[in-house]
Amino acid sequence: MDPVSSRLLVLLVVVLAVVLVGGVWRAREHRRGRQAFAPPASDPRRRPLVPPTETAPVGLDGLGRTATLVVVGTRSCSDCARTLALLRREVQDGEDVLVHHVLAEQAPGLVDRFEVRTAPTVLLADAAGDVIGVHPGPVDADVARQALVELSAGRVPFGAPAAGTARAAVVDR
Amino acid sequence: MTAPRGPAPGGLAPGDASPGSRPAGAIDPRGPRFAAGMTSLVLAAVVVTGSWWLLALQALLFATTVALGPGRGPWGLLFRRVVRPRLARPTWWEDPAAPRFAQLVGLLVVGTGLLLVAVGVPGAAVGSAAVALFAAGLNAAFGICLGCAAYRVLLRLRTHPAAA
Repeated sequence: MDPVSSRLLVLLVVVLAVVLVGGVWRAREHRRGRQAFAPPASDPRRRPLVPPTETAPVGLDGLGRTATLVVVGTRSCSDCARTLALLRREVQDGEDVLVHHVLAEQAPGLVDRFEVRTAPTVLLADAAGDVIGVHPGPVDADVARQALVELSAGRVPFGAPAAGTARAAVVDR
Repeated sequence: MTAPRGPAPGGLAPGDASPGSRPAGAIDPRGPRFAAGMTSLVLAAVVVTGSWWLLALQALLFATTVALGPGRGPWGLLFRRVVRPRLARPTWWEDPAAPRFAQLVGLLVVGTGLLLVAVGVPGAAVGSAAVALFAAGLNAAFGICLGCAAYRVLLRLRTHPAAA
């Protein structure tokens, strides 16, 4: 094979690798985004976003009348910013549903309580500020809307978690 | 202050990235992707021609962007002056640290290729360009920034060494 043909073959292989890896990666992300919220990790009981003994992290400025979504992210996480923008655009609803952004490094208590291991992780809290759902990774707007519908219909927390299931879901991502 | 109650006053956290608010130093996330597209073109040309000087040019572009930041690098400037005025306002903003680190990784890859070319390793220019093209192509075509992912992993390891 002459040098030009071999170089073109290299280019073809790289292009195919990009298409294959990129396609698989995006499909995986799409599947992750479509997964429903899981109950809070390791403890099926409701948990407050901010316990009375703690200071609210910067960015957690209030609760929505019916629900609050908290995007726990990091400063350099573009998926976090994208998820935040998506949820604010598609899901935030006046003062009924609020969407906040909290930096993980500024909220160690929150990170520890809900075993946040992925940026972003989206927390869903009810009107009282108790977290009823955790979604590791970027969440699809439809999934968030569906969770809010279930919250309004009183169908939360989202079923009784199998022991350790939610914990594994958070840690494995 | 204890658990927050009531409506939010609308304050933004540092590093926040919502429509209408541009945190200091944040960049339009489409800029690095545009740069990745242009970089892919240069690297594809290196793969096809095997030209070491084109690879050196790409190394210079990487180095300039690392030094000046993604928003002020050659492709960043072209994006700001020519492309961005034709686009809608971005729906979110991006911290430039991770894209800048990704450029550094690119510089290391093509720099290694140039070093190998200098010592006479055959196919070094094409090989290093192919590796860099894979990463740049993923970013340009799918918005997947491998260098940015590496940056976040390193940051996490630095913050929580136990995670290693």
